[in-house]
Amino acid sequence: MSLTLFFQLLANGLVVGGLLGIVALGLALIFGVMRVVNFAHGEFITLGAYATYLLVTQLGASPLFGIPLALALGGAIGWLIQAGVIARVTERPELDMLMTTYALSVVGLGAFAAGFGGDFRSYSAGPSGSLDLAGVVVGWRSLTVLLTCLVMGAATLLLVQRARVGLGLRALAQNRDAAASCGINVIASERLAFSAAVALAAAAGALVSLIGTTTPTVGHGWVLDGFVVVMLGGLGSVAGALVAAFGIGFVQSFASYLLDDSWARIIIYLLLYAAILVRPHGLLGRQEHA
Amino acid sequence: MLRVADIRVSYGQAIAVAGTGLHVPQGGWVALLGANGAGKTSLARAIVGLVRHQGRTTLAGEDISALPAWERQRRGIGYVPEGRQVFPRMTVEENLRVGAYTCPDAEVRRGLDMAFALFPRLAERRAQLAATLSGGEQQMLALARALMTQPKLLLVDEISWGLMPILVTQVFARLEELHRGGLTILQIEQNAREVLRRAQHAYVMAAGRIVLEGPAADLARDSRVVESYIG
Ligand SMILES: Nc1ncnc2c1ncn2[C@@H]1O[C@H](COP(=O)(O)OP(=O)(O)O)[C@@H](O)[C@H]1O
Ligand SMILES: [Mg+2]
Repeated sequence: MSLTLFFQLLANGLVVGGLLGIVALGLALIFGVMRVVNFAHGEFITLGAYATYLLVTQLGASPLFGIPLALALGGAIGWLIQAGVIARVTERPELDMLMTTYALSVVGLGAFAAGFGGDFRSYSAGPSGSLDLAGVVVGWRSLTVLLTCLVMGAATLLLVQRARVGLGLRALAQNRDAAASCGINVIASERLAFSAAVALAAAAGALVSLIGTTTPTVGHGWVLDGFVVVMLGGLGSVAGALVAAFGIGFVQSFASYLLDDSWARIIIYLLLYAAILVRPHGLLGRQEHA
Repeated sequence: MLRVADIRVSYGQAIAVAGTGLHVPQGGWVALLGANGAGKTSLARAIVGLVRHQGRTTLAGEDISALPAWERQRRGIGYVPEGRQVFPRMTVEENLRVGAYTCPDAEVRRGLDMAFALFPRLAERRAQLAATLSGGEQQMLALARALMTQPKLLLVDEISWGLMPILVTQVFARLEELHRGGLTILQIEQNAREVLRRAQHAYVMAAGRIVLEGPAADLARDSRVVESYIG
């Protein structure tokens, strides 16, 4: 493999890793705060992708406006779905919640298929051309995706780690009752976490539509890998999640070039199984000290 | 200050609190005694709004029966739960900041200063994760966290449980200081001897009901109390 090709694949891996990081961040936020595994996360990615597609093709706007649109739309829909669907099931056994988010996912898939058909949708508007860095060609679109992911990821982490609202979310994640008796409105906080995570997923969808085609199932593949990132990286460890996101991104990029895309899938899921075996506390578990 | 009446708590079929109540006067120190499983913690969790229950709760004349836990805290109830319940993966200072979640920034500073003055040990360990503190330090942290908002009423559940005698003395000394400063206290406690020495009034709970009450000094001499809880 030439050095240029190597860097090319590395660059592709960075873009995939950035998107996976955003998807996984949302999944981890929802699981950490609410103990909910959100199977419907992929449909929110798809939502952002179609919203951007419509914005570009119907209104002739630049797809870059799809990013704030998806953030706003995802935030609003996430808020409504948490309040209208998820919150009604929070005190029920865990399986009820799993089936609820699974049902949401299937309903979403069906709605997209009914509304848009199975066609591959894409658009040519927006950033074009590429940047040639000593032979390594990086498209402006890819660069836009990576930068946006980095900015959104950094902003979210800053909020969670530094702002008072983030302090409340972390308290809630560690001990719901203690958080409530410290004056934290845990119901509103759960709604906020879900809404923010959905906004991130939809924004990731807007970016996905920029570098690929949009279909009713486009979010699905991303969210499965997102789960792998969350599981490999471990919850609550930012560094672990970053390593996992970009690690999977590189595996995806290199394996699909050197072998093919199916092999990339196989390798990623074998890695996941290996991680299951080496984690004594379970993938989503962590050691509790107190 | 606090008046609760006809409180009922059940977990499925099991009745933990079977319609009972108590009263804590302004500035008072009231003890709640009872054997394990009597329903003390369930009653406390009903008062702070953490468990589904029936009955009426009024705080400083306001009916708070329908309010969720965070609204009750904002109206002045500080809670030190059984088993400490600190936030394990947060530092000491972050735990205290969560305690002051609803305060303006200036009050957060004042609260931190007060907490570190009251518990110098916590000041030394302010950047340490709560999970790595000793049991006694965690108990201090849980108490300091509940005080961050300067509550009107402090509800403490088994604060001396599992502490070395010297720490028990220290914890009671802190509570005495706070009480002298005007804090109203409702204290659930296994260590009946220590708490009856300081409280003015005491209740005894058994099988989900208050079965005995009176001035703490009288209960400390009551043969039934002495046999069961002092020995
Ligand atoms: N979360 C719970 N689920 C089911 N039963 C519980 C729960 N918490 C307490 N109980 C039961 O309720 C009764 C009262 O418990 P508790 O309020 O903890 O009493 P105490 O604090 O006086 O020891 C006990 O029989 C206990 O087993
Ligand atoms: Mg108890």
